[in-house]
Amino acid sequence: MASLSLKNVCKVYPNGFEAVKNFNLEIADQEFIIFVGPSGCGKSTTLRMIAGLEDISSGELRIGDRLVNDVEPKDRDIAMVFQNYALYPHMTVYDNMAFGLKLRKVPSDEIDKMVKEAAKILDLVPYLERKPKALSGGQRQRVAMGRAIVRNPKVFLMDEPLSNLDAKLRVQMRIEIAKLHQRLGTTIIYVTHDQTEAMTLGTRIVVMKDGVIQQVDTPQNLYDRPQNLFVAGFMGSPQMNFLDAVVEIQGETAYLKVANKAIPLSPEKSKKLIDGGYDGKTVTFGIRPEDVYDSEMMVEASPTSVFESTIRVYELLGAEVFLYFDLDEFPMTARVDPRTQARPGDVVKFAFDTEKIHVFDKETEQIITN
Amino acid sequence: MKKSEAQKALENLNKYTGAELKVTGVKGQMLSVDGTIPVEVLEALLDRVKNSGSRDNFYKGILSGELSESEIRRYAEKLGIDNDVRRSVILIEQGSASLSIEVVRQIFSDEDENDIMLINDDTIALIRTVTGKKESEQLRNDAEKIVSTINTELMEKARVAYGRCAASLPALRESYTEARTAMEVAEIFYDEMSVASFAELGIGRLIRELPISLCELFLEEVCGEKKRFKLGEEELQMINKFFEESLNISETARDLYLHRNTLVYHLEKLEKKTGLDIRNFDDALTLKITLMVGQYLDYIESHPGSRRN
Repeated sequence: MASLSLKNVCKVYPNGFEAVKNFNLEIADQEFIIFVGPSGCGKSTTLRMIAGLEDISSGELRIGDRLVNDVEPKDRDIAMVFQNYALYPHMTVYDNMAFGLKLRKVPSDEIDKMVKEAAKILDLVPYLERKPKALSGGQRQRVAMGRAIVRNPKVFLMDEPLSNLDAKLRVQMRIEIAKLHQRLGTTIIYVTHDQTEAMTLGTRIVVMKDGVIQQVDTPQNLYDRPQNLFVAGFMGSPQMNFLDAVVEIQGETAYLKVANKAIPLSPEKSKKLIDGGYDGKTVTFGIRPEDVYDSEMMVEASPTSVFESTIRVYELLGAEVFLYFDLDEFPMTARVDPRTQARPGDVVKFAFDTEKIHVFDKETEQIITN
Repeated sequence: MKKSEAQKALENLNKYTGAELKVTGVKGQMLSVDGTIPVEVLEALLDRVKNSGSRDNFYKGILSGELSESEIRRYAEKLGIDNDVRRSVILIEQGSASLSIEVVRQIFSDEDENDIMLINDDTIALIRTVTGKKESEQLRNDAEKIVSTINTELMEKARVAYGRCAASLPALRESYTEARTAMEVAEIFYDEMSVASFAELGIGRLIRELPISLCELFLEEVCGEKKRFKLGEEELQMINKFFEESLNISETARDLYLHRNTLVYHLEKLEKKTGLDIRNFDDALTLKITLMVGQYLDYIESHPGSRRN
């Protein structure tokens, strides 16, 4: 078990392409940390630098107290699990897990002990003599993880390990991985582009874009208090609604003018806009779909933020309904109760929960108030 | 065999190996000989005879171009290898190839029609039989699987390159040449790539095919006598980001945390230095190619044993 420290870590390729910029992060022992971001954001490159499979161009990487920039991957005491894992078809589950240790010339009695321990942790004991073809998808994935566990590493690195699985199995394996973390108590660094995986697994999440950390926080804070427009848009599905609004200050209250309405903000939010000198400026106003209501009760309770719009699309997902409409030419989504009577073509009244409004600087895209 | 032919063959053997053998008689294809032969020569001969009919040697003969088309067909029949199967050559470059070959062998152990061999200390060739319609998808999947498994099992870096599918055994040499090209192009231009497909190399492959003299002439025309632009790391970063953002100034400025006007100032400074205004597509293209050609020539200079020198 170990903590990790990355200080000003950069990755620049010989052609000048800067894949990771000034990456600073402290990872505590036993933490389950997630790197999330769109394709090409540098998350896998960072993971590979930690593994030693990519050279670090500049900066410092420590595992525990040890500076490991120039330490060979196999001497870093880490193990990796990838998306494109291959099980050896002619070998039994036992041999699949033992193979890497055999290549490293680990004595056979030690191998036996390590494999059996890993099998126990992964509930694979009854399948040790089976070949991969006789296993289910989930069991195969567990064997792939077993190959990493037998190394008894200080840190596990997982690069999109569930991406090749179907949706149902992915959910099942997500639970297995969470359980595994509890059982092993090891530091896990997990890369994914899937924000649901990130939200459900991580104790902390690192959101990346263009090689730069955008925000490091707990899943709840990332969702409720995004630090910029990118994080706000990336976390959450359907994504946060964004509209342009003009700020108008009257006394101690800030109003957001949008679609011929002026929405008053709370004193706390107003103060941020007043202090920031946003009077008369255009800002980006964000609201999550679940904070847009069509119920009569909410509409009556929030007279200052009621809008009318025509429903374009109605999507029933069983436990909820997504209503799509436009406001001032900005596409909007509302996540509402499945008992809603609204249907495409209907003109419906919507209300925003003004406490849940996020306001971003239009130019810098940084948060002004959450 | 005539006694004179046998005598001549033995004379050659004596000449090249230090053996002292003479023919005492010939009966059909069997020779009677008398004399002495160094043990290591005998062992080497034995080794050669043992391996002459192996699949490994057969494929190595195809890849190196040592076997003619008729020889390929003849040996293939002898070894029971189907000529009309679609195959591709996948090259695996990794520090400890003797260990990796075991990993690769195990990955594909359920399929008889794949052959794996060491090409040199750090390169393995996998002759991969390709089935089904989605050939390129299968090859990419195989290549990624190989890299991931070597990374996981050996905790070492690996790069995999592959050529296009060959429809017959003689055409495998072409697939091998393509895989080598892909490996080299990735090394020169795309260091971040751990899987390189010949069919997806883009402009890098085109530049690698250009004659060196033409490359030098081009650099001289664009950059002047010194044949290179002297660009700092920050300038290169700005240029790359500008290209990534499809020459969009606002987006690039945002990515680089610069004010738009500051970026415009830097682009104008670059224009003064290079004579190229990369806000224009033609100039941007010229600079992109100039940088890549420069990279290519730098590689050639630092790799004196490379194919082009």
